[in-house]
Amino acid sequence: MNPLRKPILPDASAKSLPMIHPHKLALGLALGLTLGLGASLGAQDRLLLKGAKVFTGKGPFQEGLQILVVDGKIQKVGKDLSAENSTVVDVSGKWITPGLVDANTSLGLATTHTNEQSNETTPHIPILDAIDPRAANFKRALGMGVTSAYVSPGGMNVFGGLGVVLKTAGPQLSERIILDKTGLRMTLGAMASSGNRSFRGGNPDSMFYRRPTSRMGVIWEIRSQFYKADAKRASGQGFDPEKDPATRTLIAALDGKLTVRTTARTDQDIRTALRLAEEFGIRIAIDEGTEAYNSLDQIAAAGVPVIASPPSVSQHPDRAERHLDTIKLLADAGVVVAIQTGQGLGALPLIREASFAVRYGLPRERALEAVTSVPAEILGVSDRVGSLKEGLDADIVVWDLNPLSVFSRPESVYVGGKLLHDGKAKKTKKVTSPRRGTPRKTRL
Amino acid sequence: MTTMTAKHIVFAGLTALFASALPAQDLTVVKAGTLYQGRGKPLLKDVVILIENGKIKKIDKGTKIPWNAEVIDASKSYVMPAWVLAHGSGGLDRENESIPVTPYLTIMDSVDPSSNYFETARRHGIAILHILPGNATQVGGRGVLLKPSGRTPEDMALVEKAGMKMSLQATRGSRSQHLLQIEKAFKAALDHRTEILRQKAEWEEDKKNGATTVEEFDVDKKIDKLKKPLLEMLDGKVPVYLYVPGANDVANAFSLIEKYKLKAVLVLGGDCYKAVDLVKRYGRRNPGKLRIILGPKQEVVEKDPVTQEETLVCPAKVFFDAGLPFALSSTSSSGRWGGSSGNPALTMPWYQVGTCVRHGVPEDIAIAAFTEIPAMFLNRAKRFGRLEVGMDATMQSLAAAPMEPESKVRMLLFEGQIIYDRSKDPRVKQLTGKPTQTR
Repeated sequence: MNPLRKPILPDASAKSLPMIHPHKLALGLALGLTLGLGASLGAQDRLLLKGAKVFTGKGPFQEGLQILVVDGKIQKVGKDLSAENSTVVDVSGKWITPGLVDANTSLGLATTHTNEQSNETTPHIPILDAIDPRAANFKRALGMGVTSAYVSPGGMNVFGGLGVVLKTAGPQLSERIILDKTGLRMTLGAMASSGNRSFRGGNPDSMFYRRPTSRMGVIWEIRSQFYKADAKRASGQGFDPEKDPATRTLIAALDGKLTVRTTARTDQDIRTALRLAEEFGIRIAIDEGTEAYNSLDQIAAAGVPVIASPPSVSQHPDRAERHLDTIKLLADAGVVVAIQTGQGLGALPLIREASFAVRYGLPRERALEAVTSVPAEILGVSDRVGSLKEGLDADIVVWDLNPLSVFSRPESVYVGGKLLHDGKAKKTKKVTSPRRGTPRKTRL
Repeated sequence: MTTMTAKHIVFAGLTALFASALPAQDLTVVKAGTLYQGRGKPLLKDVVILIENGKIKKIDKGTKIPWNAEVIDASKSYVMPAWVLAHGSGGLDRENESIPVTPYLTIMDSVDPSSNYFETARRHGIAILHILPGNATQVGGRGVLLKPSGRTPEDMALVEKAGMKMSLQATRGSRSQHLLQIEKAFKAALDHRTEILRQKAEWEEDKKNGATTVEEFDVDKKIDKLKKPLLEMLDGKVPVYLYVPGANDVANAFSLIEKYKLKAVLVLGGDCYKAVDLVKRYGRRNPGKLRIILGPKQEVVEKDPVTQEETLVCPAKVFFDAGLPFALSSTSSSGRWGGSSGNPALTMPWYQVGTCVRHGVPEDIAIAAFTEIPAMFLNRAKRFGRLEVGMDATMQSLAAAPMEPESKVRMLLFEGQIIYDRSKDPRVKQLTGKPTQTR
């Protein structure tokens, strides 16, 4: 059942509740209360997962840990927890991780709706308005253990807009939002100017006859916008934050209240990103960072996190040349590094990308951290998701095997304590031949 | 100046005689930490593989290592048969000629030994490749069976004119027109031969009636060279690798095969798994003749057009459930690191095998689908695909079992010769570690 289409059942035990005739409802309730049914109804929101090896978001898998979920939140992670009034799910022999967090995606976006090209700087436009919560790729991501994702505006503008962190499943889009208007997308390199054309005589017949048309033009546009915003902030005159959301957004970035998600793939763009961060005092996170292996020390010294390109992908925008072990090198250099599937890069599911990072040298624990707790920290949502610890949302994935194995599949995915993907109840589709009977011989 | 005495001459002569009579033994020993020989065989630990002139002579724990053997230490590695690719179109200048019926073309003329494709194949543990023209054709030409190592196509080739490529993918016009064109080409070739045979009969008749002839009537010489490869295929001398793009072409493929009695290997792409019942029935009618190579996409998303519900289908699992044997294949892109279209993981046999296992195909069957089954389709089952005494020493050593996250190919051997050594791979050096200087 598509969880986006049907109301979510309170929990698995609710499915087995029998239909009660209205006339008998009052009597039934009275009887139920008398017989202590109230206590068992209370157990509907208590879930105890036990028996699995557990990765909490940091460190190695641990045996014997149990997870107690109450009202959609993790109440406790520990050994020998009380199962009183709880639905106990024995997942012995399985592997548990927090719900995966994909730090850069285009989930729910139609390709034509990711870039607002009426202007090359649209910092204030929220991507949330373009997200289709019923898009199939949300369900696909959920089926591969991704429970939270950052959805970013496209990269065809210098300032593309504001992203959103949201759950990949849940009843309503509004309830799925973890953090809205977060992360200002800023794109360096050739992509942000690739649609523009320079004016060389004649009559300009398209809005794309405009600046910037070069890499340096892109950077100047960034500087120009920050200068203007800074000037307006300094003067305090003629600037109404309510009427000028673009400037308001840029000022938030200048004030360090908003992370600037800086798409920088080549070495020169990465260095430019670090320069801009220093120049304007903005807080940046490098998106993709394909050639980050060239500037490891500089990135580490600047304390800038990197949301790295998917390691399985070989060809990257801006003709950036990857190294197989960039993620390992970044981790070794002390850089906070997460793994993304990205936008239109042809990545594998997030957990497979983590597996590729291991194949290219990253230790297993670091790879799992790079798709759970680390992206949650970078996105500023680690108080909700990314780890299995008290008070966080009960976003939990039960895997049949070590999740980094190429054979692994999520058996159960819980979002807010609710089972929203049941891999064991896999639909078996009868594959039949479209044509019956013997092959035709008359036609040829 | 010294003169050679008769004694010297005799001695030199005898030495030369013995040297030529006793071929130099090429001995290699592989010390394997873990050995996977193939389906149905138990994993062996700490064994020695003795290789003589490229063939496995002995696999044993206590084998004494000959003093003159080259020793390859894989005692901390996982050794298994090299992967075998039965159908691919990589490492070429361009995959398809613009003319749709070109049976006379040969891939030998297009193989680029310096292509990244072959380098990538070695790095991924593929030691045997059957390279054929692409799928955008009707009758594309002859493939070549090769090893991914060598300075020239001749160095690489094991069989220069292997299978003939045909495709049912309609690239110009309708599917029915595409079929018609193929049949037209068949008919033209057969008619041509009939005409030659008629001329010969006439020539013989004339000869019988006393006509004087300058030369004998040689049918082979009279046959048009452009049509000859097609006639060889129609005579069943050459196997045809028939690409079937979708389920609704499977029936046409079988009709074509049965009508012309083609010796065919089916290369099933797209949603051909939907025609599995049809394939199964054909297999029952033609026992031992069904040969299937599945396309590289082993996870296909099917979307219900009404409910938009998606189902993930693994074609290999569908064929496995139907009890049909199949070979797996990988993508053929020649990009910088293995792929210019699609994810490079699809060029990696371990990933393809892993995907099938994830969907429920038993691991040994999935591995066999990239080792011994393609070797069987290529009529090389007694040489490649397994590691047994008497077979070719064509194997790979890996850091761990192939589907483990930390696994990587350390060494690749073809007939006992090292054709890939990761420690000497310049590309690995170039693409890992901190660069010594920026670009």
